[in-house]
Amino acid sequence: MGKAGSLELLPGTLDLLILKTLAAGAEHGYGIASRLKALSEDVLQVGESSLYPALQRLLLKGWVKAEWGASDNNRRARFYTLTAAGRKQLSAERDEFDRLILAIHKVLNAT
Amino acid sequence: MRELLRRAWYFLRQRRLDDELAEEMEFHRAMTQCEIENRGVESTEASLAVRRAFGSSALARNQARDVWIWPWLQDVAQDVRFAARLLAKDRRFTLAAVVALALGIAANNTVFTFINAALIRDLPFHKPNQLMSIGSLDARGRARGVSSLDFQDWRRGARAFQGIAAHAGSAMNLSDEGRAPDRFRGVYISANGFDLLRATPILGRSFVADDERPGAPAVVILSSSVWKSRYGGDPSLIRRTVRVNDMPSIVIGVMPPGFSFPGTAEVWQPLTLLAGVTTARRDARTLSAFGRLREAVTVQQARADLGAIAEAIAREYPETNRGVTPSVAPLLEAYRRLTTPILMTLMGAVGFVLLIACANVANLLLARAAHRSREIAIRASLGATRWRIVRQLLIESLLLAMLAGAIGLMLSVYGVRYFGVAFDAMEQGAPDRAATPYWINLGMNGTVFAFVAALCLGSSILFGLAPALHISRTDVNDVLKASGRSAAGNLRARRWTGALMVAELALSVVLLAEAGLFVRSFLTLYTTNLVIDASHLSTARLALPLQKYRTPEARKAFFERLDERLATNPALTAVTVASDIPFASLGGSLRQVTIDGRPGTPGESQPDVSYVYVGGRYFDTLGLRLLQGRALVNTDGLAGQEGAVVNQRFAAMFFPHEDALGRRIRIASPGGAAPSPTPLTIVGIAPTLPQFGPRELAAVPAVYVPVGAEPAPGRFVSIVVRGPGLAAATALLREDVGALDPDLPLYSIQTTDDIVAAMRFPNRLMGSLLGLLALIALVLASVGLFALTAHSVTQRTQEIGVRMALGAQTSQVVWLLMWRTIVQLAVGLAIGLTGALAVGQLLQTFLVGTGARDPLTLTAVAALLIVVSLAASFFPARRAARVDPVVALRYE
Repeated sequence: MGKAGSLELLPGTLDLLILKTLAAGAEHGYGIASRLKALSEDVLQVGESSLYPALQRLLLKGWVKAEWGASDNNRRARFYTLTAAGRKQLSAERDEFDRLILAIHKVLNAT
Repeated sequence: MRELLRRAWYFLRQRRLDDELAEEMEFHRAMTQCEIENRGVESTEASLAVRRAFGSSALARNQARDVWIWPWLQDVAQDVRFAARLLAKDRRFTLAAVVALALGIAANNTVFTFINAALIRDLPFHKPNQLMSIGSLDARGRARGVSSLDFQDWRRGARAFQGIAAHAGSAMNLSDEGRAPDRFRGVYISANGFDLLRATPILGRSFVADDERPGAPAVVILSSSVWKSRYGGDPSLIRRTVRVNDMPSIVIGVMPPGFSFPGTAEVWQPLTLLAGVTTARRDARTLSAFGRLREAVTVQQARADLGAIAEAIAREYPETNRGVTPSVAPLLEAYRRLTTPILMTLMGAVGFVLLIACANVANLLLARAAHRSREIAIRASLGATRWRIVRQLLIESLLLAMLAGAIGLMLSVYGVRYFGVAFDAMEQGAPDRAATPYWINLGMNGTVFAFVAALCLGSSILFGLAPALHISRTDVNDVLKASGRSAAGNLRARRWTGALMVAELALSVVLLAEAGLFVRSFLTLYTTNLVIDASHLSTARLALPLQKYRTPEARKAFFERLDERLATNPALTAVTVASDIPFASLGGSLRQVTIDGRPGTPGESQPDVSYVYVGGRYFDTLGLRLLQGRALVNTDGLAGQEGAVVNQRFAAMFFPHEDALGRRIRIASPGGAAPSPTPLTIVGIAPTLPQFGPRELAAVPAVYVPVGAEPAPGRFVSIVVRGPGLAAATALLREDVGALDPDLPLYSIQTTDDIVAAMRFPNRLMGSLLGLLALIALVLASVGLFALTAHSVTQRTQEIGVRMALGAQTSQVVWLLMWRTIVQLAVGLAIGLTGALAVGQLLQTFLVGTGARDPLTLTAVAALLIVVSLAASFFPARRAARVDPVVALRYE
């Protein structure tokens, strides 16, 4: 974190992004981080110290569940999948986020 | 709700889930490293890059883990860490606080362990709360035992009880071939007794109803310790015959180790073997009884049940049983009623010590508060709520208390061991008195640990809450502006510390005064003039079994033969037989006396005199020189020339203005008022010996009579030897007694020094214990005062500098710093002395020769406290007054 080009996330948005990433299918922690990095074109670089607490938080809320499986290079890895509650949460938070962004946009574009 | 379950799940599987998390992160790192290496970076370099990118893996793991733990728990953990750091930093404060608290907690826990053993723990029997002790109350409501006939009727009629058993204690002499006879605490108990206790022998069988049948062979059950010590744990002892009080009895059983009932009994025989029990009258209420309640029956129901039976008996036998009612109470109640006052006194004393320690620590915390107000103000200005600050300060207090509790617990293990040994020593010093009952268990159990935990928690709130509330009210603006010394804060703190100091002083006064009273009683016992040199006297007793020595003549003959035999033993230079041992009179020897030629006023009873019949060399052996007349000689016992020696107190009491020598007196038979037909002529006057030992404060008149003139000697025979030392004397006495009767054991073998020490022991124990506690209190209070004055000196250094620069004298500055101490001292003394008077009233029964109002003790305590506390505040005050004003003014 703190590298040039990477951005600090708004509080709470990391959870939303993780949920979004997992909507495409099961993924392990490293996979989530690399996908976020790839999708944001290297702007969002999530470190262990924020990724894993966020994942634990999601587990605690019951939005994701974790299972051990084999990674692409055949190592043991923990895969996270979205639960039904997680899916609901994702759409709710998305709407919320869209409204927020819209609002911020309006403020910034006001003359 | 689900979240809670998941948290619980996490809590239970914490270890496993943590491992999973670690593995997961390790995977993440490995993948990242791969990625960097794929870009062509060297392996070690890549690993460093990963570490740089991720930082501490432990920290990351902690952060992820913390998600699962309640946020406030996390805060608390943070507070604990912070508090621990503070305590570690401020070592002097921590040490002072922990030592004070640990002493208080150790003392409390030591006493509580005894309370737990004596008052809280149950008897080690099956369902002990079903066991009831049963007795009678006579028409005037006085507690009596149970008569054998009443017992039979109650047992037959009672429905509330599974069974009722009766017992009577007695010394039992065990004798058999090949061993010296020995005396044990024995009990005659009805055959159902052990069954009711649900106690079964480890060897052989228990008593059965058949053992009580008239004409059944006599049987005996032994305790494990008797079996081991006297018979070497030989299992073939069962079915063998030994003699118990001269009666051949078959050993049928051995009880488990540690078992005893009641009290400290070690040998048991069926109740029917107790002499005279089968023929005793209905009003001979000499037995003790206990019963086991049926399931779900209450004490009240049991009382009603026995009451109805007793009423029926009273109607049938009005002359013996009118107004007699049964009493039913839990088995340990009587014992507990006896031990509660002394234990509660000690508990009160140690409670005071802990309160003083708490007040002291509270003052230390308040003093520290002044230095911390800046820190607190910063926290508050950064948004900490008042509750958060109070909580953090309380956690500091709790940490202190727990540290002290751990140390106190360890110290109290030693305390319990030391006083356990002391009580055992008391038991050995007085083998005939009720010893510590076997069920007293001084082990620490859950109750004790819970008590310590409660002490830690309670005291941390006690000493921590006031300072915490005080500090948390700090005014942020004030403090930050005024560089940490806000005038308003100081005033409030001063009020707190003043009140605490007064409390400390008052509590110290109470403790000191009570300790003083005990020390005075103890000194009274020590300064009692024993008249004779008690250091080279050995004593022993014999008890003649009444089955064998049935008539007074037989007992008198034994007495005289023993005296003669001992007198002719060349190895014993000074020895005598007597009915009682000096200083340890059994108390059964008080008689009434009439003077010939002086008609008593009808209806007015004469004062009791101590009555001792003695062998030929009594006065020589004791080293008692007669003041007037001559010692007793053998011819004084002959019919027609009976002579007696009286003590000085007797002479002064009955013949205040005349010569007692040659006067004739008559002694009443024991218990009866009728004077003996034979007059005794006073031939000598002896110095007054404290017949009942050092506790006897008012001299008791005494008459010494030659055994020949005693018509009916009792069964107890005492022997006094001067010279050869206890072990040698015992061996010689055993030989001589054994030659006359091989079944008679010597008991109560001890020197008169031991007797006197044993009598002083309870007062010595209480005196030294309370003295120690009072000393701790005094030290704590004076250290508190010292610290308080020293603290106020540092607080006021600038002010002092200004005053001195303006011309104040040293004495004025000292006075300025000390007047608050003097006010506190005056208030504390007033409250404390009032309290001491009140508490002293409660302790009156333990005191000897002094009382709660003892002016000497109270004055001494007040003077001591004044001197110590003035000194404690004078030195720091004088030091302040000697400071160079220039330095003081610059002081920051």
